[in-house]
Order: sequence, then structure tokens, then C-alpha cells
Amino acid sequence: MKIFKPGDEPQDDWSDLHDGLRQLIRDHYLGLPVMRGMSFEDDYENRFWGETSEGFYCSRILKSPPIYEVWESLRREFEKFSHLFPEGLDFFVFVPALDLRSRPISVGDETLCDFFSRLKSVRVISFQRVRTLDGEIALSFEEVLKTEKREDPIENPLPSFVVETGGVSDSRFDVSSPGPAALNKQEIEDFFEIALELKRMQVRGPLF
Amino acid sequence: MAPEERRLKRGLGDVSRLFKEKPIPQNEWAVGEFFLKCVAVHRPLSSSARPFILALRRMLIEGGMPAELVRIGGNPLTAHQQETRGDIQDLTWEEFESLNRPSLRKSRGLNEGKQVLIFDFDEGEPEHLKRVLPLMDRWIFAVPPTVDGIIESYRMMKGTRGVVSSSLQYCLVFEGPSGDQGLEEVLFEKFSAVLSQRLGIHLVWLGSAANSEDACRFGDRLDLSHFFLRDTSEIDAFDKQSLFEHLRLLKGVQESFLS
Repeated sequence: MKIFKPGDEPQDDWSDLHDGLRQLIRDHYLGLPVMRGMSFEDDYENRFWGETSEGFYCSRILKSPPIYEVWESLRREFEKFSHLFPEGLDFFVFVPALDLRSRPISVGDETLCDFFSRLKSVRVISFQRVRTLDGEIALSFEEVLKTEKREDPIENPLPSFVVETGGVSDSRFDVSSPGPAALNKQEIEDFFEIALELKRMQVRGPLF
Repeated sequence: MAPEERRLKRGLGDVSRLFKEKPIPQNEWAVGEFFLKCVAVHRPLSSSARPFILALRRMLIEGGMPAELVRIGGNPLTAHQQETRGDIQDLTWEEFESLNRPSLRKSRGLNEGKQVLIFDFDEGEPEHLKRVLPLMDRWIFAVPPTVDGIIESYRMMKGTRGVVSSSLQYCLVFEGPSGDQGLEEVLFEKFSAVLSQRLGIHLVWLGSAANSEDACRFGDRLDLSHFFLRDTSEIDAFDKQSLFEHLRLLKGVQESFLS
């Protein structure tokens, strides 16, 4: 386990943040076991498809300002997978990046949270990731939006958590150090499709 | 698709009816031939592969194939393992390394032998993987029939592609109380497809083990006929023969000591 301390250098490996996020969800909000290890990064974002005993969820961490293209990619991806959730996605976790703290996550008049909260049966959980000036990293539980119309989040105090991060290191393909390797984007989606197929089978019952 | 068309081809019996009534083939090895299969077992979501290895060894012996458990860089044995101590061939890493030295290889010619060697070692060390995996003919992944299980298997297969032999055969055993064969078959088919597409790996499904912790119940649905076939692509490394000769010598010393 790694604990970020004041003075620690910000790191590029966001898997630590995912671990912290999973722990946060498990320990402080949902109380559910969270499946490990389905995350990847690309140029501007980092996402995590996960599963709990109640269902699937998706978390996104944006590393860049919420430009329209990023939001559009999120929306397109959600729509791509939404048909796989006839009952609705169980919940969606959204984590803005560090430099977004003072910026509204919005395009026009609609925020991203609003967009997802309008979708049927989707619970949206939004965290704001905060890095203080002395380097300490924490996650603040900003607001919780459920399927029903949300209460004004400003009325609710925001609990804060110091995040302990850590986990299995994802050594890339390396002959000098063989061992478990990280999954890339295509592989993540392959396994996600398998997970969905199994979940559908379990809902429907045995095929044979 | 009709249910019978969805059956997986796990062994010869599923390939053709010609093999339906045929017992485990035992005549694939001819006198004078060197037949040695080196097998490693990976249980990514379990604390130890030892119970699985012991049960596998027992099944192979019952099928007529001599099988030895080779423990490298041994860890402390449990009480149960102490009882079966005689079944285990111990090697230190130094001994194992010495068998791979070129000078030793040169001194040995082809010998005859027939055996399966099942390796037990700490897979958590990259150095160990790097030393042992190149000699392996079979690598068995024993995992629960879950997405988590196949992901962990995939990650290990992907991360060791650079050190394994090109002729290594990957095998899969679903381990756990699933009981849902339909689900297991779908899981295997999809996992196999991903492996083939992404890593170019062909996977053999050996079947399911209800609970390998209990050796008596292990193997009810396992098909090990694959282990009795002579592969043309099998590794014919001098390393393996050195190892085989060393273990044969070691066993001889142990038996003479006990007698």
C-alpha cells in the first residue's frame, strides 16, 4: 500500500488512483466488493470498468479539460454500451481531473453529471479529485446523484477521504522481468464483453 | 446451434467417435525413445498450487504415466505434504541452474525415458519464471470459472510470452464449485477466442475440477489424454535430459538410502 504524503511527486501511473477509488467506493459508499484490474489509459483519459456484487459500473478520470470532443467520446461510448444494460447501468463513477477543480464540467447549459443522471436507472457518483499545494492527494466526495431527482448537493456536507493507494504493479511485456502484464484497451473491452455475456447468462439461466 | 454442436473438443473422444471407447493411450512411447514432458501449474487466485499438483500427479500415475513432482527452491512443507515427502524431488536453484550448463549438456547423449515432471516453484519471482518456463512443454492454468480468473491467466500469459518455448502448450482447468457446465463452456470459448486473436495462443481445456483441495474429488471431469501423446513439436532440449538423468540418479540414491 502506498500513501501519498505531502511532498510526493505527482505520478503518471493512475492505477494508484483507481485503487484508491475502488477502496473509497468499497469502504465508504457502496460497501460492496469491487472487481479488480480492468483499467487502461490513453492520451487524455483513464477509465475503469468494474463489477460489484450488484452490477457493473464505469469510472472515468479525465486528464484534460472537458473539451467537447472528450464529452462526446464519453457519450458515444456510453451509448455504445447502453444496449447491453436493458435495465440500465447500475451506476457511473465520474472523476474530474486535477485541473478541473475550478471549472464547471459542462458544455452549454448541461453538465456531464446532469446528462448521465437523466438516463434511466443510472446512478451517477461524481468525485472531485483534489491536489493541495503541498502535494497531498485526496478525493472529495462531491455529490451523489441517483436515479430519482437529486437533492441540491450544496446542502449536503462533503465528506473527505485521504486515499491510500497501491496494488499490483502492471509490468508491461518485458523479457527481463516476466510476470503478469497490463491489459490494453482492446483487451479490456474483450473481457468486458465476456463479463456481460456471463452476466446475461446468469440472469437468463443456463443456455443448455 | 444445436446443443451437440456446441460441445468443446477437449480430447480425442470429442474429436472423433473412433476414440470414444478408447482408453487413455499408453502405447505412444516406444522403447528407446525419450519422452519427457515438463509441466508447470499456475493458480493465480490461490495461495498454493501444491494440492492441484499432487492430485494431477496421482491421476497421471493412475493412467499409467510415471509422474514426478519436482520442487525447486523448496518452501516449508505442511504436515500433509511431509507425509507425501517421498513423492517430491527437491532441487535447489543452484542444482537446477547447474543442469543447464553447456558443459553438462555436452557430456550427455540421448537417453531413453518416459516421464512427466511437474514443477513446483515460486512463480512470484520473475527470475524463477525466466529459468523454468523455457523448459516447459505444458503450462496448466487452474482458475475459478470467473472473468477474474481468466483475466489473471491472460495477464500472466501475456507477460511471459518472451520467455516461454514456442512449442509450449497452454492448458486450462476450471477449478471451483461452478457446476454450470454451460457457463464454463461459454467462458472457455470466449477466452480461447481472445487468446487466439490477441496473443496467438491456442488453449486446451482439460475440464473442470470441483475442488482440488480434496484430492479424492479432484479430476472427475478432467481429460488428461493430452498428456499421453507424443508431440512432434515437443522440446528436445538437452536441458531436459540432464534434468531427467539427475532426478533418476537422485531417486536411486534416496531408494538405496531408505532400503
